[in-house]
Amino acid sequence: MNQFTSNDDLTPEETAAFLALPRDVGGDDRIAEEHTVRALREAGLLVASQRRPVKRLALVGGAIAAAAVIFTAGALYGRALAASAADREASAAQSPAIQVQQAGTAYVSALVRLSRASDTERTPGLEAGTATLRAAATSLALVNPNDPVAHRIRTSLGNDATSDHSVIWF
Amino acid sequence: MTLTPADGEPDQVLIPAVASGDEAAFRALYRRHTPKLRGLVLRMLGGQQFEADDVVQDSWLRAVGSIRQFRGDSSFSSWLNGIGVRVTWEAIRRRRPLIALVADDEPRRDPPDTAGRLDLEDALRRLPDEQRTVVVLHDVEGFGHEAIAESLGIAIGTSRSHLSRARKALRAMLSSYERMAK
Repeated sequence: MNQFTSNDDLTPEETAAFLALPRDVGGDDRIAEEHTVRALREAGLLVASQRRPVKRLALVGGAIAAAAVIFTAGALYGRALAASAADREASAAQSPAIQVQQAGTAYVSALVRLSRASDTERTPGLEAGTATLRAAATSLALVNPNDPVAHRIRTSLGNDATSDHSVIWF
Repeated sequence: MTLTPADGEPDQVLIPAVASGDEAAFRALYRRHTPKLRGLVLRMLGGQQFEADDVVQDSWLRAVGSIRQFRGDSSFSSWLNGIGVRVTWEAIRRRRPLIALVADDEPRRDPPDTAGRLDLEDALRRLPDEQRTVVVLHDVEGFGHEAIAESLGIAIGTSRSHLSRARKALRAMLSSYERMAK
């Protein structure tokens, strides 16, 4: 029996046969879409996407900005490296006399601060200061054995061989 | 096919964007609704692929051109397919002189395929244009005679007549080929 009968109205089988027909039919969608978009543009119904030029401009601008940042950062880093190297060279080139003077200034300043400190801080500080002074006098005697100041300090603080080892370095 | 963020937007969002000329929104709408539109157009045209592509494009041109008139009373798909029906019908009417050698009321007598069988899709293709158009709209797409008459610009009685003839022709074709197959 055929799915279509002689009656004019559709039978359930005939209705089912129509319903079973596919509704969606794909074609070459990409090409057809591009043709349709082009036709719509030509008809003035679609505006060619403004996003692309903007995006392109943004990309170019971003690339320029990134290049500028990288260049600036590189220049600054190079300058910092150069300055650091110059500092190291200057430090290395600094004379021992200046180093002694700077160390002496720091020593005296620390002793001044120690004089204002509490008793609990003062005692270990005094021991460290005395030991440092003795070590300094001993070192000074190596530079000039006849130095009278070094001689008096060593005499008054005691000139034992182990005194150098009592220096506490911070 | 590259997906864009607009592909996930509902029609209600895409339609105003398309009305403003937004290409990405149009592409999303196109990809969503074209398969069904093409299916309808292709079946109405009797399987003419190239003609169907032109009609689908013309339908979209007309739809986008009048998209501000879409009120949302029906789904966008129904509205678009309604336009597709009118554009397809116009194409059929234009091509009629080219196939005037075939009698309008007689099914085309193409030879059977190698398997000696005919399915419903093949039988639909062999119907005269008017009968095929009406039976596709009524029995496949579910349009009523009033809507068909309005879309095609014909009388309701004419629509009924085409449908009746189309069904008889389909039954005859399918029975004939079924007998041949036995």
